[in-house]
Amino acid sequence: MARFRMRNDARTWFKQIADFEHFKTDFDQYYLCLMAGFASGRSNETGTTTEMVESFVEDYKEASRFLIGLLVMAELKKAGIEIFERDSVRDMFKRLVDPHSPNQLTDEGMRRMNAYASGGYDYLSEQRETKPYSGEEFLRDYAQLIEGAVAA
Amino acid sequence: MQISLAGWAVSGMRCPDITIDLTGKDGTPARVALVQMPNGTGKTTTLNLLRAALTGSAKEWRPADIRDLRRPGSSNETGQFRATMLVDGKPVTFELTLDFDAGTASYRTTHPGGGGVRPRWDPPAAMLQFLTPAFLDLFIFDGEFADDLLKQGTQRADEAIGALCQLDLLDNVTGTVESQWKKATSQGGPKSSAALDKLNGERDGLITHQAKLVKARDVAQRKLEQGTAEAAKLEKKIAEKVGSVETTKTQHGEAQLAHQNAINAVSVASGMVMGLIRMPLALHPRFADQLVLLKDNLDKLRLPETSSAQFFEDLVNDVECICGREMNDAAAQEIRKRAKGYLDYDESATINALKSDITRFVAPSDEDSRHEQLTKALGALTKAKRQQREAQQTLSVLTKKLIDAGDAELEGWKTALDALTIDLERYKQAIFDIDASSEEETGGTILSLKLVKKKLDEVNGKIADLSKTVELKNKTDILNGILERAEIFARDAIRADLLSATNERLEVVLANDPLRVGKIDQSLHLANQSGASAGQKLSVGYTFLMSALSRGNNDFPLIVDSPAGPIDEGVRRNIGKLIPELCTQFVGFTINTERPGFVQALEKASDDCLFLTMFRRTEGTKRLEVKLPSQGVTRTETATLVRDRDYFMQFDVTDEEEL
Repeated sequence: MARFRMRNDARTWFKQIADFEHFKTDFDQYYLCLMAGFASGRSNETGTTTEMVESFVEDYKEASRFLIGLLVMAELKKAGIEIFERDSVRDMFKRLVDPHSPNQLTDEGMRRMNAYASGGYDYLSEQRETKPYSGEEFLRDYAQLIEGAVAA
Repeated sequence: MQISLAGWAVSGMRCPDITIDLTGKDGTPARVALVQMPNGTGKTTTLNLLRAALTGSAKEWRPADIRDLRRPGSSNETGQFRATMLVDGKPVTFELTLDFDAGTASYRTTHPGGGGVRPRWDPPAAMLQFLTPAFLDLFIFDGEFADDLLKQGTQRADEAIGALCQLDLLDNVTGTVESQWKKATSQGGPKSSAALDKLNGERDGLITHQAKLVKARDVAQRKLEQGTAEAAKLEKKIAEKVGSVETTKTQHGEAQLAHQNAINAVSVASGMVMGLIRMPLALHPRFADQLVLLKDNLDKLRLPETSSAQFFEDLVNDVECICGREMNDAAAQEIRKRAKGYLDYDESATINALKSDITRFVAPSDEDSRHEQLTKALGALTKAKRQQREAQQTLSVLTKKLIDAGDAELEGWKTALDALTIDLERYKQAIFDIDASSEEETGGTILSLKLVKKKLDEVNGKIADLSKTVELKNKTDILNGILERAEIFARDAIRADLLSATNERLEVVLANDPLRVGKIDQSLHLANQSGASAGQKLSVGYTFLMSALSRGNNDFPLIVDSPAGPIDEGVRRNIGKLIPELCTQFVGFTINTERPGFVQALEKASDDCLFLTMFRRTEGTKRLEVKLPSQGVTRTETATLVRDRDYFMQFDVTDEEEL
């Protein structure tokens, strides 16, 4: 079963704030990258990664379906499929969503989810001149970086 | 087991078409049968076909070898050879058919226990062990073979022992051991003890490195804890000092309070920000817009459908389609194909849950939206951070003020604290590197304990695999050693047995001759003498062979080509007298020149002798047809067979070319 995977260089990039008091698990860092990927529309399947959890962690259970929905939207856009193309939208759901999987994603769905997290890291590390050294400072910057990605 | 040759029949081959019946006086194969054929009539071909029929070896012949057995100038498609053996009195027939056009050989076997004719070479199981080419050489051979047993430098005697005791079975086991070893190690990779040593060295290196990393982490952790405590002390000392000096006391107290309040405010605000960020809808309105767009379009597209894939599966199992038409195979197949495009129950449920979540979270509310909440929390965080920075600056300025005023002690603490802060960062970095969960090597020194553990697991796996391989190799070597020694012991034991049995027989058959075998070592070595006459050598050779063949209470025919060929008449007499003593059936292929001395002695030693004379029917042999006896003559298109002692004795053709 496919699992969430995080880029090794992303871990290194985040290490100065890995102990930030409000990061409960390393899934927080994965999520920050993922949302940057969705915001910027960037995905990347290269780069060495390290395996993480199989399911959405407790803090993200409530958001898990939204993340799947955003993945579907991102992939529709990437494939050039309009949202009103019924068969194509249905096929996209079948390709990415597996209700029987612990993370509700097919292997392809998980691969693509990880690709957006990877692409998001690329975006964040390119936009910031330095690695983050303070959790609080990074959160403030992060909101602006997302704003910038959406606006671009 | 008694095996005898009852006869053979041949047609369509190089040798003449003929049926030979070796039945003697009492209806069983004659004890002695002599088949006189001029050279060139097909003695060698007949014996080769007999060997092939009995061993099944013609299957391995090349097409050219098979076609070479077709009679020259003939265009017949096939040739047959049939040998009839008696095994404990019961007939077993081997039939060999050569297809000259295809260049192939096929067999049929018939024996009472085999349920009739079998379309393959398939002798009774009990007979199988004796029907190997090597074993057959012990009882179907030419006259020189017995002589060869005594030739120094040859290995004929040992070869005979090997065939007799079927030591090739040990070779088969060795072959099986070798093939199993190759099969077990066919996956490649190292197989030797040296490779195992290398891997163990690698493993030891990793264990040492792992221990070093664990120790380094402990040291870094300890120094971090000590340094943190030390830094706290220094900070306290600095704070107390700055707070105790009259000129900075009041300002310091206020700044300390403001700093602590700012830290708390930053913590609260950043916690709130992080909590809100975890909800995508809060992070940016675009995400909420996209999800609403998705939900709305799913509604418009009527996705998920009200009909699921399961509905269609149920439908095809009905007698009629929902439209009233008969549900035939074609319709069912098409429905199943199209149903694959529909979402199943669970997929539909997931999409419905997503739609429901979106509806719930974007519903109008009196409260601020999540994004508005995030924006406010970010504002609070920015403000708290600014206050924290300002309070920190105030504290720094107060410290600097005292240092500038000449407080050397405070300056020392501050310098020590700055240095300690750098050290603490270094310790944190070391711990981070050691705890890193990197799965990849970077090429330099490995710092990650997890990576060392992973590599150690890999090496341990290889060692486990290789250990199994090395263990298998050791067992293979032991087994091969046992097989090798088993063959040596078996040969020694059999040599001793045969030596004794051969000498016992020699005492009887050569009662007036002190000739004995001294040892069997590759060939037969005579005792107390270095040389022997041709007759003595043949006597010893035949005696050895029959001693060997009679081991295990088995009885085989002796089928010999030119049994008295190159020896003088006196020796032939001795051999002729000896042979009936040695075996229960002797079949000799002779030419007329071997008769003198040999045949009379044979006839004298046995009262059941069969005399057969065969020659090709050609223009040249017409003169022989004139003098044929009135009885016992068989003619085919290609040969004449005469079963008559007097004709045998008077036959005067040595070579076919003479005719």
